[in-house]
Amino acid sequence: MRFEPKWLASVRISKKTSATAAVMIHPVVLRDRLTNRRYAALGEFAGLIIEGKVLENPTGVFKGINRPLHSAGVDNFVFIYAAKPTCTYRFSGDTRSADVLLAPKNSVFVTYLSLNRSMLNDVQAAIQSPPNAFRGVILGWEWVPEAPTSPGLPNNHDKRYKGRVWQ
Amino acid sequence: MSTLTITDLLPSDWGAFAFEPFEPCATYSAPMDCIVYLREDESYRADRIDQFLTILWHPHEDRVIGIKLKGIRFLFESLRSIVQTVTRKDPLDDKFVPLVGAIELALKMRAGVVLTEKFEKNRVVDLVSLNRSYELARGIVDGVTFDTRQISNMA
Repeated sequence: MRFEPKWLASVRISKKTSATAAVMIHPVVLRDRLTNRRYAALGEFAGLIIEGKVLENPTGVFKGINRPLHSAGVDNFVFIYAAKPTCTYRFSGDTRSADVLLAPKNSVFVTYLSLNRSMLNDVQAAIQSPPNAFRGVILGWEWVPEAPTSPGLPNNHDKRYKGRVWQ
Repeated sequence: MSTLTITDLLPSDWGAFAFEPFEPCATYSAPMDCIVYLREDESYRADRIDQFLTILWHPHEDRVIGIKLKGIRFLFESLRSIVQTVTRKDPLDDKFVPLVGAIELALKMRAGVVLTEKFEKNRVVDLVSLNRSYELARGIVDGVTFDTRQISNMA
């Protein structure tokens, strides 16, 4: 796979300003979703992350995944962007745009981004991208239960993640 | 409103995309170091049980449609060292292993983690609820095997 600008998404990088940066889907993740016919996940990526720009309008941003048994040096550089779209998407054909579906109940949509320099270098080299074409890598995304007392935020976010960057 | 198609997402050098039906499968994601097993292609709700196990619920119904097992490198390296010590055989030589075995291992490893990890010490662990979740996970992956070649390059 070679770098293609169509895989870039825009992410807000400052709470105080509307500054954004480009992030790129990890090529291994894209290949996995395509080869395993994960049409719901592909619809979410196209409809929510690329076109819906959920990363530009987060309801909360967290940093670090609480998985102390694995690669803390890597997991500490994972950012979690939460958003609360009202719908989700799923593909039902290869040349049709994704179907619009009701968002999963009582849930928020989270996207996992890595700003780890080593991972960024590996991906840039693997897909031969231009220098500085993107600043982060999208590792995954999914719907998770919403905190009953903190609308827009993932349930138990204090246990899931190491800290909150902004809300 | 989404206007993109799957064809728009395809790498230019992939050629045409055959729109085939989704089939349940267990796949390893190296960037997130997890195995995801999904029975239905839905926008699932991922309910984190602990640092190893996440239960994947149907988006609108109260039924489980999959699981996510995390920390796979740790789990399989632990399994490998135990088995190699006892049998001198590498468990990853078997191409397909039952996914339920990985869940059993996660539950066993978790017991040790509770004692050693600081953030877990402060957590009130509801063991009944935890065991119920792992039982749900066992049920959903009954008979499912996992192709270890997906993670064979992690060693």
